[in-house]
Amino acid sequence: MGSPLKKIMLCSSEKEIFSVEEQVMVQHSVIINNMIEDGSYNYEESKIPLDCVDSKTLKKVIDYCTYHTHHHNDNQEDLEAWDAQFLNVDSNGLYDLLMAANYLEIRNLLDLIYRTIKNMIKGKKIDEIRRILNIKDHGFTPEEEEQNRKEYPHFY
Amino acid sequence: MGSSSEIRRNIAGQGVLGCNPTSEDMAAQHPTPPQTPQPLLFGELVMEILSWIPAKPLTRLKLVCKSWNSIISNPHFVKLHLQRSPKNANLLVMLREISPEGEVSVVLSSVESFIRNPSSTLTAQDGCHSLGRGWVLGSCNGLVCIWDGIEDYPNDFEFHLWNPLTGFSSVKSPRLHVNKYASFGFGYDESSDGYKVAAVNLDINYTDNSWETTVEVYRFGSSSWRNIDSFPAFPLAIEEDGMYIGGTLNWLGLQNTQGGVYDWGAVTLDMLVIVSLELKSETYKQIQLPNGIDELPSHKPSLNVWGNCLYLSHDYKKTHFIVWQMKEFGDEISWTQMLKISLQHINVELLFPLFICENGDIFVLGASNGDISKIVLYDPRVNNVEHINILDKNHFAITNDYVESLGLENVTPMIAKIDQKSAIELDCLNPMAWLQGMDSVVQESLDHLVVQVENIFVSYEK
Repeated sequence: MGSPLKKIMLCSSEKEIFSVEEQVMVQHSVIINNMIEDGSYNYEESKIPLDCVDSKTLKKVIDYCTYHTHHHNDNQEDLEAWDAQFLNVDSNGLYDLLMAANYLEIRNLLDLIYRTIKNMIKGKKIDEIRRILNIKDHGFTPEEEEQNRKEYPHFY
Repeated sequence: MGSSSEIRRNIAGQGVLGCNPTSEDMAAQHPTPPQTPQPLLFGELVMEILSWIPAKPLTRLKLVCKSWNSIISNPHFVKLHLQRSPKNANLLVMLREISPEGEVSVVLSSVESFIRNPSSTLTAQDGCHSLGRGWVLGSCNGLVCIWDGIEDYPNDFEFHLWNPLTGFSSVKSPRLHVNKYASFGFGYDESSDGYKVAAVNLDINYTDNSWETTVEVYRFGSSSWRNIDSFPAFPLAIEEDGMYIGGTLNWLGLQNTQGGVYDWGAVTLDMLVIVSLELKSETYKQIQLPNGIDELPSHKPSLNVWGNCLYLSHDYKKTHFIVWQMKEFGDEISWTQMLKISLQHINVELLFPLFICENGDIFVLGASNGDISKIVLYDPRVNNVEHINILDKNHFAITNDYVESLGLENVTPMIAKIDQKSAIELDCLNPMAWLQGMDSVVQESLDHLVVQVENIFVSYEK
């Protein structure tokens, strides 16, 4: 468990440095927790390189972890409202967050994103799901697609 | 950091949960040039999300894109999805007209709706499938085992597996010829990843009143029935199917019989035993009945399984109905009396269980009073009894546990597609490449990614 006052440095794909309370990241990210625990992080020199997380996304991830560290005693409703507001992003933003949460192994954020995506496609027609998730190339041949549409018109 | 993390490090922007976006999009969204996309990783995340979606809407999602189609059709995914399907949430009810030509139909229902309103659940056309003269032997991992009689051969049977959600059926088993008295059981053997049917044949020699049993086992996908050791007791309720729980099939039996054909009047309490056939080793064990039974019931007890528990129910002095629950299967000390209720209180002559809630909150019982059959809902918490006249006297119902699953295509390569309308073409793209990926990376990463969102998905549909 990290000390509450210690700070660690995270470096985004644009090489921008973010200084974060160690405890915030240790509590949420399995990967960072492991790095601190096994001593591979040097407080004097280390920056944790997050080559696949851009600054905008990293800032959001840090916001999430910080809020949930300091508000974990809030009532469930308030937290859910905050989460909903937090994930009010476009599908590309959601995708970037998903990748970042997956990379850093932030399980409760992953869980939240999975739920959100699931709700986004719930009860939707195939064409709507493709639009919502920005799936432009479905990979079916024109013949297969035509056949599917013919066979299951009510799903499209 | 493990290999999965190394790979994660290399992810760059792909399309959102789908195939790759156009290069224009990528340029707009990612100022730095993206690195090589890792389709496997993308597959891992999609798999994670899809694995929490109930089976029924999931079959439809195969149409979204080819990679989803591959994931949803993949046997590894089918297993992962099954692990995450809500357990003890659904029932399969078999209804049969009582007549020589009686039609059998099957209704799938959530436990919740069955308890809330058994009448409308059982009469709903939605989710009702006709089996003609087939018979549901049992259900396991979302697959229903059905046996079909063969015209003009009353002692011959064929079995097949059916997934009511996807509409897929397996090809039929080789034909099995049985004696006049035979009982069957259906279950899953995890060690061989196989679905098996066991047939217990009772052969009675009326001239010297002796008997013997032969037991045959069929594994779906194989070519023949095999003989295994004979049944280690007299199969008592030969007309009842074996109950599947924890890799075993269970029947009531009589031990230490002195030869001869037993009617219930000749039975003593110490002869009663549960015979448990382990599907892995194909060997038998015996399980003792609850210690608390101090008197032989006036009718044969019945054995049932719901959720993770084995239940034994019987009458007591013709005045009461008793239900025992084996909390830990195989542990005889864990037998617990769940219910003892006066038949007079319920105002019926005979009760049998249709569904029992694991925590004992609600009992759905079948009741008969003369020739009227009905359902009785009993809530012991408030001692409330509710009678529901749904089964006209020409029908009776048998309930089975049921879990929604996508499964079947991994059971056997010999699959016949019977229901074009409800089944979506299973088309697995390059499965070998996918499997290799699964083994090396995805499976490992998945272990890290276990998230607790089960409950969210229960109410997914509607």
